[in-house]
Amino acid sequence: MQNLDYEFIARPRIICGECSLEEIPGELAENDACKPLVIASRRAAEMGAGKILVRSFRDSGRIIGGIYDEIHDYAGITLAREAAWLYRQRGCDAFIALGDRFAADVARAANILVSEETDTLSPYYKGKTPARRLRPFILVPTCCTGPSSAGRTIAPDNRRLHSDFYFPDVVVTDRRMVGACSARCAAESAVLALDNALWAFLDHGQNPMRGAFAHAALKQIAGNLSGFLRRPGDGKRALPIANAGVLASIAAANARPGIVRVLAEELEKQTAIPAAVFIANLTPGALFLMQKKALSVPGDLLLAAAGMDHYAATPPEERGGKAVEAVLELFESAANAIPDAAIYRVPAYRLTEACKNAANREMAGFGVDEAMAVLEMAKQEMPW
Amino acid sequence: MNIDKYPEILPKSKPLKKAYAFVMLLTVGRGIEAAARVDETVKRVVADLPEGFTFSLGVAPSGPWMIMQKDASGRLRYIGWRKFKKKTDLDMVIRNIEAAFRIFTFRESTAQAHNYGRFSVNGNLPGALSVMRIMDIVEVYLLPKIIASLAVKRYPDRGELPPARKHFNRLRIYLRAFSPGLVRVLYRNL
Repeated sequence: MQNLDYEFIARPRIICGECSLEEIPGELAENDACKPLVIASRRAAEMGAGKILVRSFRDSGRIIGGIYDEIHDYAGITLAREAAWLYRQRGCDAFIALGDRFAADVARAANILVSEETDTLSPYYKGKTPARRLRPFILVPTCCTGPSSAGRTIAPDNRRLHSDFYFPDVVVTDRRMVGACSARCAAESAVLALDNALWAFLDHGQNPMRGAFAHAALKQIAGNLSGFLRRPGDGKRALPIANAGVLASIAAANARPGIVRVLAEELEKQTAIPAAVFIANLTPGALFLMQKKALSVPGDLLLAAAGMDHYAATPPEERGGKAVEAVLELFESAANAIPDAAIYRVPAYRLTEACKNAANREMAGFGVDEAMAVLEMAKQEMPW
Repeated sequence: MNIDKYPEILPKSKPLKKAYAFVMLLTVGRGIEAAARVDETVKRVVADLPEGFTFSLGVAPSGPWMIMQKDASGRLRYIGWRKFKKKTDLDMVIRNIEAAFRIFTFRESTAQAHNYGRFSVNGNLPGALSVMRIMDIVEVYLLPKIIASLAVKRYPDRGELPPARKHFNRLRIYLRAFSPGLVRVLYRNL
């Protein structure tokens, strides 16, 4: 019986396809803005994404307040304060984030500072949320983790903030921007999207809206992942995966985060190794434990991950198991390009610390024992 | 922080694409005016439009535009390309010059472009549908079949538009479109 007692929010307007970047000035006008500040990751700027964005503004009659491209691999409050100062000095009225999730987080943190007219995020770390809509914010994801940052959570200084107002107003995916810089980068972005979609699917209290987004994301990934991994720099092949990343992050924003994601984020904080590496390594163990506990896996997952033919040919009682196998195949094909976490030799005390922090997180839904069990299961497959 | 490290950027223009869009809109506008006197279907559609009906088709934010008006005698006239101080009953605005270039190089038909959100329509919606129908017919006359079939939703078959009538009307429309009346329109708008 479908659950029809739910809440779902999907704020961003998603623009994808030919001439998507050229739609940005029109979207700014619809949000009563005319002078955006662009906050770009250093990697995106070096790849020329900034120049492509400026070219898309030609003949628009809009001035760009500046391109702030000091973001490397960390979203710090200092960067957000500098961006906010530049925003005020230039008289800007909108933000455009160009790049990966760090650029998106800095842009949103700066947006909080200017919209709420404050210089510190301390009240927000303690649970305060914005009282009203922030300044217009447009997300232009590039390769790496960009598409997975279209949700309602930001993490400046590795401290998580949640609010519906943190959703981007518009997400623009254009094939000129989403081509990956390397096979590893492509695999990491695919793994993040897969993880978001999978655990949005598996979270309890499944509702038709969340199911629709997660299903669409998984289907896009299943149909396009192999082509993308073969030629990661091809924007045409990267576009469906970027789309899937955006859809999956919206679905995940309406679900509890999965145990793998929470654990991977805590491990990333402890070790500075990207979360996608841990997700690729921990997911098989987590799914195996789920099956061992006889937790039901919806049969629709097989339809999304393997297609109609495979779904129709599988008896209903076997669909859950086959779905898990299909999803694991997708993870394995992406994980080939991601280094094995064992090579980093993570110390045991860091693993324990990460498990404790993960279990203590708000809405975690699992205990320390469960988290340790997932790590143990992953260890059995590779000697940590 | 050194603010000069992050200068303001004033993006340039796209003069060639704008010039191409201008020529296309001028040709289509004059073609619509000519077709309204030549083709029976277009005559019927124009007769149903209210007197004084004015519509514009152009590219945001700063043009080029095509403005047409049905005058007191019932004829559809190409007024010009200046939108200044003209009150229109219907505005069809293509959102940016890149989208206009895609439409005018026939990589997308008008119907496809509307589907993709490339242009917005403000004003009289039934009038908009009539104008789209007129534009489809005019494009069939102005363009060879191989290009017109990309531009229109459905190319008319031989039963609807016999080849002899099509070519004869095409000649009449081209002659009227590039007649001395064009010089008068150019002079009035310059």
